Amino acid sequence: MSLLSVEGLKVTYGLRNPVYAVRGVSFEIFEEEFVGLVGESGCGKSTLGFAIARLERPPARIAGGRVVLDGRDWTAMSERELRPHRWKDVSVVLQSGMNALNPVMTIEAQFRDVMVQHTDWSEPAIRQRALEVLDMVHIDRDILFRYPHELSGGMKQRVVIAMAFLLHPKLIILDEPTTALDMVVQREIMDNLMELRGREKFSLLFISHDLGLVLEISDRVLIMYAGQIVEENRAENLLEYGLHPYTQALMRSLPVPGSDAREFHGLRGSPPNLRQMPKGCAFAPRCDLVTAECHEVEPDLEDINGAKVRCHVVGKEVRVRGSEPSIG
Amino acid sequence: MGRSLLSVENLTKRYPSRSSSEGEVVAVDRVSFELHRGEVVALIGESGSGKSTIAKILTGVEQLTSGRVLWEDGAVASKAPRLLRQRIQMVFQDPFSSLNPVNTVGYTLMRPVMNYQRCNGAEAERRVKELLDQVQLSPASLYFNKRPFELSGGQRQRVVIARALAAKPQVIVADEPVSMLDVSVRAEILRLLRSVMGQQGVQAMLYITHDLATAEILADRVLVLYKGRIVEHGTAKSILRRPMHPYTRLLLESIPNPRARRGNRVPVSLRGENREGELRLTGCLFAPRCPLAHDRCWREVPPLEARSDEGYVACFNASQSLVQTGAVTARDSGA
Repeated sequence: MSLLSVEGLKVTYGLRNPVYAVRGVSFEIFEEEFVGLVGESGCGKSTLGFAIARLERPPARIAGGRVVLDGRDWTAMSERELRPHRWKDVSVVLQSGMNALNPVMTIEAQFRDVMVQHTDWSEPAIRQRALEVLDMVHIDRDILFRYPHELSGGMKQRVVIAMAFLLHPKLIILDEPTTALDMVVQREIMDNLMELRGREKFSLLFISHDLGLVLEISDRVLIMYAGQIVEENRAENLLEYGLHPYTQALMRSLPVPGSDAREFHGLRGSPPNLRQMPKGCAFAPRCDLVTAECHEVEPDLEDINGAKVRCHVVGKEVRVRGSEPSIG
Repeated sequence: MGRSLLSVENLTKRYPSRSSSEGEVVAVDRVSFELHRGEVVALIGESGSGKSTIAKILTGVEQLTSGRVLWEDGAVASKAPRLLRQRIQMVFQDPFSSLNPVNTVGYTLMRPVMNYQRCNGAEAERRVKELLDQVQLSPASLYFNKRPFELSGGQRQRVVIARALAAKPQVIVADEPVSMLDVSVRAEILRLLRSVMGQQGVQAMLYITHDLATAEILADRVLVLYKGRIVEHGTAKSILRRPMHPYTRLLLESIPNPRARRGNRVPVSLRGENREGELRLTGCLFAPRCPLAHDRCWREVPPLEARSDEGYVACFNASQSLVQTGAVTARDSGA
């Protein structure tokens, strides 16, 4: 059974003339699975992450669909009902989460706050767990008594990740956890996450605009464009052969050291304005494979060889060729 | 490669330290390099490596403590701020904060055009539109009246590049121009920066970044900085293919590379961050993180020496272990 099941989730901004930032997203995350969510700025990936953890705040609103986490329908629960499950069922590390630390509290006080509010653990147990999570992210134990401003950006980010593990959550959502950091620090944090995978039981939703980073860590990847999932595929398949033209374009935009710079291309154009969505496929205006049908009919997310893709052209191509595409 | 347009000689910048016991912080320590006509030079390093301090000194925002910055015609940069602004322009990291949100794109670009190209009215407007075309914001008339909030990150960065070009500078200093942008638009901005070389009088570029992968795409030569000192210097190609300094290797290994995922990728072994206020070191500043460090590294500062046709490196160990066995990582040979 899946740990998280998102079913037809819709999130809007504004009441009178709502903009659909998330337009009917469905996917699952299984126990101890690492899933990546990739897309450009404004595609709705952070909004989706917020909504899954029910952290959306006005003007954002869930306008349809369900989020079922560990058998409970989070979309049907009140804030009071959700409260005992926060940090335990799901914990979230936000983009620039390191700035979410309270500047006038020591790290210890902030850790304690989470544990006192959400558990009935004894004082020694609380202290023990605080030390454990710091060890997990390889930070000296003595930083517990420091204030955030005494730590570097990379250390703060690791403190925030450590904090997310405090109550042994089943699902951790990381939204661009390394974007503001140097390459080397990013590498250390990524290695650290892989290492934690062997020690703690948790599922991960890793949100980023950097497909390269996501592919490194994820088992399965969701590609999001203009509020919808356009491809869902296993990471090893994507490395060989991204199905959707958008996925392929993202792959081409990754600067891989030592590769030919001429093969390195950005995407032309910009994502569509969500207030004026084009008829048909949202990616059509930027797509190299576009046909007349693409401008008229919105494609569905279809199953193809165990993956899912939302594209008229690629969908047909692969079906005609049968199970042949060069996967693996 | 042409003549040297700008020479940086023994550039040093010290800041007074907050705690008096430590004396002062050496942000840039005797850095020398030349910027030739027609080339892009990348300055690479982590936070605290001194790369942005060098940019600030070159653009006149900060004053150097010692050393000098000399232009081809003998002008000393630090003594003529007006001349500096004309010759050197900056592209900033964050296009969300480097553009005034209440001004239109047209207004933002008109001011430097009128100021530095000494023209007015219709002529200035024509030149602004020319600039917009050049940075591929077309049709120019559409973008002329837009405000920053109506533009995407990539489009804003194009405006910032146009603003730098408006002064008709000889040198552009681009400080992390793509690190705030989506990976998907980085390629096009880097291409644009490459393409502005030779246009509007731009003759050379300094590209400041922590990302070796993008440096390979944009730069001809690469200088690797660690805590204010140059530790390696060479062509972009040679540094990416055969990095000699253990720190350069660390930077290279840190680049996300999905093709070398999991089992294949060598985990970063050189732990420890670039921390401020560390104990004073008499030897190599990288020694505390270096798996190859031995007694001499802690005692003496390794000089920057030519180690191959293409490169210079400041490391006592670079000559044998790293150069000859290109495939062996710092970790393998050290641990």
